[in-house]
Amino acid sequence: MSLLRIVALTISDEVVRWASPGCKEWAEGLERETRVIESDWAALRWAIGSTRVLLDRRATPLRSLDEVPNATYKLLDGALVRSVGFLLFPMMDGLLFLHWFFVARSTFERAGSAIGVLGSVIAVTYLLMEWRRLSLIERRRLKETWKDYIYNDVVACARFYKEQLKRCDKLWIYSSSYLCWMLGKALYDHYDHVDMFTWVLFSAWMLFILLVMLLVKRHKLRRIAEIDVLLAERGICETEL
Amino acid sequence: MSFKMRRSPQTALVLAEFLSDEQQWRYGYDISRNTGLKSGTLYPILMRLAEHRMLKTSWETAETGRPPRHMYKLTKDGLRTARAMVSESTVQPAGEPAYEGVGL
Repeated sequence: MSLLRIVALTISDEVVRWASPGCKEWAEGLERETRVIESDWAALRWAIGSTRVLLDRRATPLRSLDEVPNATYKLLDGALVRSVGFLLFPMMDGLLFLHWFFVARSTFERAGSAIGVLGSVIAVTYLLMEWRRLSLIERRRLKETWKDYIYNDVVACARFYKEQLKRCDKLWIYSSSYLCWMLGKALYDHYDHVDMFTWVLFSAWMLFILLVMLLVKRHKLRRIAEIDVLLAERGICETEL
Repeated sequence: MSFKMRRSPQTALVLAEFLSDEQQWRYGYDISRNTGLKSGTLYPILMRLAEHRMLKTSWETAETGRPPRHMYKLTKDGLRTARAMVSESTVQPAGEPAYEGVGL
Protein backbone atom coordinates (compact mmCIF):
# COMPACT_ATOMS: atom_id res chain seq x y z
CA MET A 1 0.00 0.00 0.00
CA SER A 2 1.40 3.38 -1.03
CA LEU A 3 2.06 6.22 1.38
CA LEU A 4 -0.64 8.34 -0.29
CA ARG A 5 -3.18 5.56 0.23
CA ILE A 6 -2.18 5.20 3.87
CA VAL A 7 -2.61 8.95 4.41
CA ALA A 8 -5.99 8.91 2.62
CA LEU A 9 -7.26 6.00 4.72
CA THR A 10 -5.95 7.58 7.92
CA ILE A 11 -7.78 10.82 7.13
CA SER A 12 -10.98 8.91 6.34
CA ASP A 13 -10.74 6.89 9.55
CA GLU A 14 -10.22 10.06 11.59
CA VAL A 15 -13.21 11.69 9.88
CA VAL A 16 -15.37 8.72 10.90
CA ARG A 17 -13.97 8.91 14.42
CA TRP A 18 -14.62 12.63 14.92
CA ALA A 19 -17.83 13.01 12.92
CA SER A 20 -20.86 14.15 14.94
CA PRO A 21 -23.51 11.49 15.71
CA GLY A 22 -25.81 12.78 12.95
CA CYS A 23 -23.03 12.57 10.34
CA LYS A 24 -21.44 9.28 11.39
CA GLU A 25 -23.22 7.19 8.76
CA TRP A 26 -22.22 9.66 6.04
CA ALA A 27 -18.62 9.72 7.21
CA GLU A 28 -18.57 5.92 7.04
CA GLY A 29 -20.00 6.08 3.52
CA LEU A 30 -17.20 8.44 2.49
CA GLU A 31 -14.61 6.22 4.11
CA ARG A 32 -15.83 3.15 2.19
CA GLU A 33 -15.56 5.06 -1.06
CA THR A 34 -11.95 5.95 -0.26
CA ARG A 35 -11.19 2.24 -0.18
CA VAL A 36 -12.58 1.54 -3.66
CA ILE A 37 -11.00 4.45 -5.54
CA GLU A 38 -8.17 3.03 -7.60
CA SER A 39 -6.00 6.10 -8.03
CA ASP A 40 -4.08 7.00 -4.87
CA TRP A 41 -4.15 10.72 -5.61
CA ALA A 42 -7.90 10.60 -6.25
CA ALA A 43 -8.37 8.69 -3.00
CA LEU A 44 -6.36 11.34 -1.14
CA ARG A 45 -8.36 14.18 -2.69
CA TRP A 46 -11.57 12.35 -1.82
CA ALA A 47 -10.42 11.85 1.78
CA ILE A 48 -9.40 15.50 2.14
CA GLY A 49 -12.80 16.57 0.77
CA SER A 50 -14.51 14.30 3.26
CA THR A 51 -13.14 16.38 6.16
CA ARG A 52 -15.92 18.86 5.31
CA VAL A 53 -18.24 16.49 7.23
CA LEU A 54 -16.39 17.42 10.43
CA LEU A 55 -17.65 20.99 10.18
CA ASP A 56 -21.24 19.79 10.21
CA ARG A 57 -22.16 19.17 13.83
CA ARG A 58 -25.57 17.56 14.13
CA ALA A 59 -27.38 15.39 16.61
CA THR A 60 -28.68 11.94 15.71
CA PRO A 61 -31.67 12.65 13.44
CA LEU A 62 -35.19 11.75 14.50
CA ARG A 63 -36.24 8.78 12.40
CA SER A 64 -39.83 8.49 13.58
CA LEU A 65 -42.37 10.36 15.68
CA ASP A 66 -41.98 7.69 18.36
CA GLU A 67 -38.57 9.15 19.17
CA VAL A 68 -40.05 12.61 19.80
CA PRO A 69 -41.18 12.12 23.46
CA ASN A 70 -37.67 11.22 24.58
CA ALA A 71 -36.23 14.12 22.57
CA THR A 72 -38.76 16.42 24.26
CA TYR A 73 -37.71 15.28 27.72
CA LYS A 74 -34.07 15.72 26.79
CA LEU A 75 -34.70 19.22 25.46
CA LEU A 76 -36.59 20.30 28.57
CA ASP A 77 -34.00 18.83 30.91
CA GLY A 78 -31.19 20.54 29.01
CA ALA A 79 -33.05 23.84 28.64
CA LEU A 80 -33.65 24.10 32.38
CA VAL A 81 -29.99 23.50 33.16
CA ARG A 82 -28.84 25.81 30.33
CA SER A 83 -31.12 28.66 31.37
CA VAL A 84 -29.37 28.66 34.76
CA GLY A 85 -25.91 28.03 33.27
CA PHE A 86 -26.27 30.76 30.64
CA LEU A 87 -27.03 33.26 33.41
CA LEU A 88 -23.33 33.23 34.18
CA PHE A 89 -22.32 34.95 30.92
CA PRO A 90 -24.47 38.10 31.20
CA MET A 91 -23.90 38.23 34.95
CA MET A 92 -20.13 38.23 34.49
CA ASP A 93 -20.35 40.89 31.77
CA GLY A 94 -22.81 42.86 33.91
CA LEU A 95 -20.48 42.83 36.91
CA LEU A 96 -17.59 43.97 34.73
CA PHE A 97 -19.59 46.91 33.34
CA LEU A 98 -20.87 47.73 36.82
CA HIS A 99 -17.27 47.91 38.05
CA TRP A 100 -16.40 50.18 35.10
CA PHE A 101 -19.43 52.33 35.93
CA PHE A 102 -18.15 53.02 39.44
CA VAL A 103 -14.57 53.73 38.36
CA ALA A 104 -15.65 55.84 35.35
CA ARG A 105 -13.86 59.18 34.99
CA SER A 106 -15.91 60.76 32.25
CA THR A 107 -19.50 60.96 31.02
CA PHE A 108 -18.64 58.77 28.04
CA GLU A 109 -17.22 56.06 30.27
CA ARG A 110 -20.23 56.25 32.54
CA ALA A 111 -22.69 56.13 29.62
CA GLY A 112 -20.78 53.22 28.02
CA SER A 113 -20.73 51.13 31.16
CA ALA A 114 -24.41 51.94 31.82
CA ILE A 115 -25.33 50.66 28.34
CA GLY A 116 -23.29 47.54 29.05
CA VAL A 117 -25.16 46.98 32.31
CA LEU A 118 -28.42 47.45 30.41
CA GLY A 119 -27.37 44.68 28.00
CA SER A 120 -26.79 42.35 30.95
CA VAL A 121 -30.11 43.29 32.56
CA ILE A 122 -31.96 42.42 29.32
CA ALA A 123 -30.25 39.02 29.07
CA VAL A 124 -30.57 38.16 32.78
CA THR A 125 -34.27 39.16 32.87
CA TYR A 126 -35.02 37.02 29.84
CA LEU A 127 -33.10 34.04 31.20
CA LEU A 128 -34.83 34.28 34.57
CA MET A 129 -38.24 34.38 32.86
CA GLU A 130 -37.22 31.40 30.75
CA TRP A 131 -36.07 29.52 33.85
CA ARG A 132 -39.44 30.23 35.55
CA ARG A 133 -41.39 29.02 32.50
CA LEU A 134 -39.34 25.83 32.28
CA SER A 135 -39.72 25.23 36.02
CA LEU A 136 -43.49 25.34 35.60
CA ILE A 137 -43.28 22.79 32.80
CA GLU A 138 -40.99 20.68 34.99
CA ARG A 139 -43.62 20.66 37.74
CA ARG A 140 -46.27 19.56 35.23
CA ARG A 141 -43.94 16.87 33.94
CA LEU A 142 -43.85 15.24 37.33
CA LYS A 143 -47.56 14.53 37.07
CA GLU A 144 -48.24 11.09 35.62
CA THR A 145 -51.17 12.29 33.47
CA TRP A 146 -48.93 14.66 31.55
CA LYS A 147 -46.41 11.90 31.00
CA ASP A 148 -49.15 9.63 29.60
CA TYR A 149 -50.33 12.41 27.32
CA ILE A 150 -46.83 12.94 25.96
CA TYR A 151 -46.23 9.26 25.26
CA ASN A 152 -49.68 8.38 23.92
CA ASP A 153 -50.19 11.23 21.55
CA VAL A 154 -46.97 11.58 19.61
CA VAL A 155 -48.43 14.10 17.19
CA ALA A 156 -49.40 16.41 20.05
CA CYS A 157 -45.98 15.80 21.58
CA ALA A 158 -44.28 16.67 18.28
CA ARG A 159 -46.18 19.95 18.15
CA PHE A 160 -45.29 20.65 21.79
CA TYR A 161 -41.64 19.87 21.03
CA LYS A 162 -41.68 22.23 18.04
CA GLU A 163 -43.24 24.96 20.15
CA GLN A 164 -40.54 24.52 22.80
CA LEU A 165 -37.80 24.63 20.17
CA LYS A 166 -39.21 27.87 18.82
CA ARG A 167 -39.69 29.39 22.27
CA CYS A 168 -36.16 28.60 23.34
CA ASP A 169 -34.94 30.35 20.22
CA LYS A 170 -34.69 34.02 21.19
CA LEU A 171 -31.60 35.07 19.35
CA TRP A 172 -32.79 38.68 19.08
CA ILE A 173 -32.74 39.00 22.89
CA TYR A 174 -29.12 37.94 23.06
CA SER A 175 -28.31 40.04 19.99
CA SER A 176 -29.70 43.14 21.75
CA SER A 177 -27.53 42.40 24.77
CA TYR A 178 -24.56 41.75 22.51
CA LEU A 179 -25.04 45.12 20.78
CA CYS A 180 -25.35 46.89 24.14
CA TRP A 181 -22.12 45.29 25.34
CA MET A 182 -20.21 46.21 22.19
CA LEU A 183 -21.59 49.75 22.12
CA GLY A 184 -20.95 50.11 25.83
CA LYS A 185 -17.34 49.02 25.46
CA ALA A 186 -16.81 51.29 22.45
CA LEU A 187 -18.18 54.30 24.37
CA TYR A 188 -16.22 53.42 27.48
CA ASP A 189 -12.96 53.47 25.52
CA HIS A 190 -13.77 56.72 23.73
CA TYR A 191 -11.89 59.21 25.89
CA ASP A 192 -9.47 56.88 27.54
CA HIS A 193 -6.44 55.16 26.07
CA VAL A 194 -7.60 52.12 24.11
CA ASP A 195 -6.48 48.99 25.87
CA MET A 196 -6.11 46.74 22.81
CA PHE A 197 -5.64 43.52 24.73
CA THR A 198 -8.85 43.94 26.74
CA TRP A 199 -10.71 45.04 23.63
CA VAL A 200 -9.59 42.01 21.58
CA LEU A 201 -10.31 39.65 24.46
CA PHE A 202 -13.72 41.19 25.01
CA SER A 203 -14.63 41.06 21.30
CA ALA A 204 -13.45 37.46 21.00
CA TRP A 205 -15.58 36.49 23.98
CA MET A 206 -18.65 38.23 22.55
CA LEU A 207 -18.13 36.66 19.13
CA PHE A 208 -17.75 33.24 20.72
CA ILE A 209 -21.08 33.61 22.50
CA LEU A 210 -22.75 34.78 19.29
CA LEU A 211 -21.29 31.85 17.35
CA VAL A 212 -22.56 29.35 19.91
CA MET A 213 -26.00 30.91 19.73
CA LEU A 214 -26.04 30.72 15.94
CA LEU A 215 -25.03 27.05 16.03
CA VAL A 216 -27.76 26.30 18.56
CA LYS A 217 -30.25 28.13 16.37
CA ARG A 218 -29.22 26.09 13.33
CA HIS A 219 -29.59 22.87 15.30
CA LYS A 220 -33.09 23.89 16.37
CA LEU A 221 -34.13 24.81 12.84
CA ARG A 222 -32.96 21.40 11.67
CA ARG A 223 -34.95 19.69 14.39
CA ILE A 224 -38.06 21.69 13.48
CA ALA A 225 -37.60 20.73 9.82
CA GLU A 226 -37.22 17.06 10.82
CA ILE A 227 -40.45 17.18 12.79
CA ASP A 228 -42.26 18.85 9.90
CA VAL A 229 -41.11 16.05 7.61
CA LEU A 230 -42.18 13.36 10.10
CA LEU A 231 -45.57 15.03 10.52
CA ALA A 232 -45.90 15.34 6.74
CA GLU A 233 -45.32 11.59 6.47
CA ARG A 234 -48.38 11.15 8.67
CA GLY A 235 -50.31 13.42 6.34
CA ILE A 236 -50.14 16.41 8.67
CA CYS A 237 -48.87 19.43 6.79
CA GLU A 238 -47.33 21.95 9.18
CA THR A 239 -45.23 23.93 6.75
CA GLU A 240 -44.34 23.88 3.11
CA LEU A 241 -40.94 22.37 2.39
CA MET B 1 -39.01 29.66 10.36
CA SER B 2 -38.11 26.32 8.80
CA PHE B 3 -34.98 24.90 7.25
CA LYS B 4 -35.58 25.06 3.49
CA MET B 5 -34.03 22.95 0.78
CA ARG B 6 -31.35 24.96 -0.99
CA ARG B 7 -31.87 24.94 -4.76
CA SER B 8 -28.30 25.41 -5.89
CA PRO B 9 -26.98 24.51 -9.35
CA GLN B 10 -24.97 21.74 -7.67
CA THR B 11 -28.12 20.26 -6.14
CA ALA B 12 -29.80 20.36 -9.55
CA LEU B 13 -26.75 18.60 -10.98
CA VAL B 14 -26.95 15.81 -8.41
CA LEU B 15 -30.69 15.42 -8.91
CA ALA B 16 -30.23 15.28 -12.68
CA GLU B 17 -27.67 12.53 -12.15
CA PHE B 18 -30.17 10.52 -10.09
CA LEU B 19 -32.83 11.08 -12.74
CA SER B 20 -30.58 9.63 -15.43
CA ASP B 21 -31.40 6.21 -13.98
CA GLU B 22 -34.19 6.56 -11.47
CA GLN B 23 -34.34 2.98 -10.23
CA GLN B 24 -30.63 2.45 -9.79
CA TRP B 25 -28.92 2.65 -6.38
CA ARG B 26 -25.92 4.95 -6.76
CA TYR B 27 -22.55 5.12 -5.03
CA GLY B 28 -21.19 8.45 -3.82
CA TYR B 29 -18.01 8.17 -5.85
CA ASP B 30 -19.91 7.40 -9.06
CA ILE B 31 -22.12 10.45 -8.57
CA SER B 32 -19.01 12.50 -7.92
CA ARG B 33 -17.35 11.30 -11.12
CA ASN B 34 -20.42 11.90 -13.25
CA THR B 35 -21.23 15.33 -11.86
CA GLY B 36 -17.69 16.57 -11.32
CA LEU B 37 -18.51 17.51 -7.74
CA LYS B 38 -15.93 16.90 -5.05
CA SER B 39 -16.74 14.85 -1.96
CA GLY B 40 -16.84 17.98 0.23
CA THR B 41 -19.53 19.48 -1.99
CA LEU B 42 -21.45 16.33 -2.85
CA TYR B 43 -22.03 14.89 0.61
CA PRO B 44 -23.60 17.98 2.19
CA ILE B 45 -26.05 17.96 -0.73
CA LEU B 46 -26.83 14.26 -0.23
CA MET B 47 -27.26 14.86 3.51
CA ARG B 48 -29.69 17.70 2.86
CA LEU B 49 -31.67 15.58 0.42
CA ALA B 50 -31.88 12.77 2.98
CA GLU B 51 -32.88 15.27 5.65
CA HIS B 52 -35.86 16.27 3.54
CA ARG B 53 -36.71 12.61 2.91
CA MET B 54 -35.92 13.05 -0.76
CA LEU B 55 -33.14 10.49 -0.66
CA LYS B 56 -32.99 7.03 0.83
CA THR B 57 -29.77 5.39 1.84
CA SER B 58 -28.76 1.79 2.16
CA TRP B 59 -25.67 -0.26 2.85
CA GLU B 60 -24.66 -2.62 0.09
CA THR B 61 -24.90 -6.33 0.87
CA ALA B 62 -21.40 -7.22 1.94
CA GLU B 63 -19.30 -9.43 -0.28
CA THR B 64 -16.49 -11.45 1.20
CA GLY B 65 -13.35 -9.41 1.75
CA ARG B 66 -14.89 -6.09 0.78
CA PRO B 67 -16.57 -3.66 3.18
CA PRO B 68 -20.13 -2.67 2.15
CA ARG B 69 -20.57 0.65 0.36
CA HIS B 70 -23.18 3.29 1.08
CA MET B 71 -25.78 3.61 -1.67
CA TYR B 72 -28.30 6.31 -2.50
CA LYS B 73 -31.57 6.49 -4.38
CA LEU B 74 -34.30 9.11 -4.67
CA THR B 75 -37.58 8.47 -2.88
CA LYS B 76 -40.93 9.03 -4.63
CA ASP B 77 -41.08 12.53 -3.19
CA GLY B 78 -37.50 13.04 -4.19
CA LEU B 79 -38.19 11.99 -7.77
CA ARG B 80 -41.16 14.34 -7.98
CA THR B 81 -39.21 17.29 -6.58
CA ALA B 82 -36.15 16.42 -8.66
CA ARG B 83 -38.10 16.43 -11.92
CA ALA B 84 -39.59 19.81 -11.06
CA MET B 85 -36.28 21.27 -9.90
CA VAL B 86 -34.26 19.98 -12.82
CA SER B 87 -36.79 21.18 -15.38
CA GLU B 88 -36.69 24.64 -13.74
CA SER B 89 -32.93 24.93 -13.85
CA THR B 90 -30.61 24.67 -16.81
CA VAL B 91 -28.27 21.89 -15.87
CA GLN B 92 -24.89 22.23 -17.54
CA PRO B 93 -22.57 19.24 -17.84
CA ALA B 94 -19.87 19.50 -15.21
CA GLY B 95 -17.01 18.91 -17.62
CA GLU B 96 -14.00 17.12 -16.25
CA PRO B 97 -14.70 14.51 -13.61
CA ALA B 98 -13.39 15.39 -10.16
CA TYR B 99 -11.77 12.04 -9.59
CA GLU B 100 -10.66 9.33 -11.90
CA GLY B 101 -10.50 5.57 -11.58
CA VAL B 102 -12.67 3.34 -9.43
CA GLY B 103 -12.00 -0.22 -8.47
CA LEU B 104 -14.67 -2.73 -7.60
